[in-house]
Amino acid sequence: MSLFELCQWIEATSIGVHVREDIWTFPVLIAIHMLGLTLSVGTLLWFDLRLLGFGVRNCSVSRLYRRLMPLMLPAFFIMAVSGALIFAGFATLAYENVYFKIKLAGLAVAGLNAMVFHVFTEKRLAPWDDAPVLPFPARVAGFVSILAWMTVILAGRMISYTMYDGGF
Amino acid sequence: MADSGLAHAITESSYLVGLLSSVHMLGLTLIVGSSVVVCLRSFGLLLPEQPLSEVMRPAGRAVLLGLSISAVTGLLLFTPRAVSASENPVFQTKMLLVAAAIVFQLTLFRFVARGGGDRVLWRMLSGALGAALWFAVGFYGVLFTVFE
Repeated sequence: MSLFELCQWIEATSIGVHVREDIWTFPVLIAIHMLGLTLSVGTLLWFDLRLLGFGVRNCSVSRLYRRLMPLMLPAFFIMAVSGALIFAGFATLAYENVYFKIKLAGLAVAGLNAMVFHVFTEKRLAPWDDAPVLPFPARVAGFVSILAWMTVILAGRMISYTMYDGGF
Repeated sequence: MADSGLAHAITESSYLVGLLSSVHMLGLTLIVGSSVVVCLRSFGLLLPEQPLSEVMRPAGRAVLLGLSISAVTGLLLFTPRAVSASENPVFQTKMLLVAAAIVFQLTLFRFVARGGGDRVLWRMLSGALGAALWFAVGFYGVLFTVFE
């Protein structure tokens, strides 16, 4: 089964049909997705800015991470679930849309960046945890994260305006 | 306004509308995230060991930056649909909420951020009101986008 055929199958499921045909489901999902995004990325930005040396510079990186995580994770979960449901309704159109591919690439970079930070950079965190200005790899992680999520937001909105003529 | 050259240029390019809408969303993300962080700090649920003023100062700057970005892009998005948008009750509500949120940001938020209102009640009121207002702005903005 090719990727396109998989998308066709997803679109034909009862969930896909419901998202596409019900008058309320799609707008409600979009609203949840966008508000989930503002909440998750909006709070993640605080951590990224701290890595770059801005924001709450007096708070240690590990403490800020521990405090923000319980807020960010549910918001990311809401965003992911609503995003997957929206995708189910328009899988083939999304598959052919260049901005959807850019969005996925942005998500992959953000995920990979977070993984590299946790696996490598965070392990050597102790000497600079409290420092207002962090070492270069930590600052790079913050910068890449901001860039990746900006790409996700920009490409995500562009999907709505290019999927059909005149938007969704 | 809707008949201006700028309005026509925006109307004719769905890419330009998409780009403006994307940047508008970035501004909103900055505002909502910062307001929620301040709200939770006001209630002692987030970063309780940090002084409130140390959280409110960068948050205030982030909200102002987000607001500037959203205002410029919002105005450009409004131009081609000035007539229809101004008659839309969802858009009217959003604009009322934006006005209320700006007044809040310039008065109560600034008052508490500068150390005024030492009472816990003032801080909580400020935090909750800020998050509620900006979240409502976002909600009505999304509502306007999907039901326009």
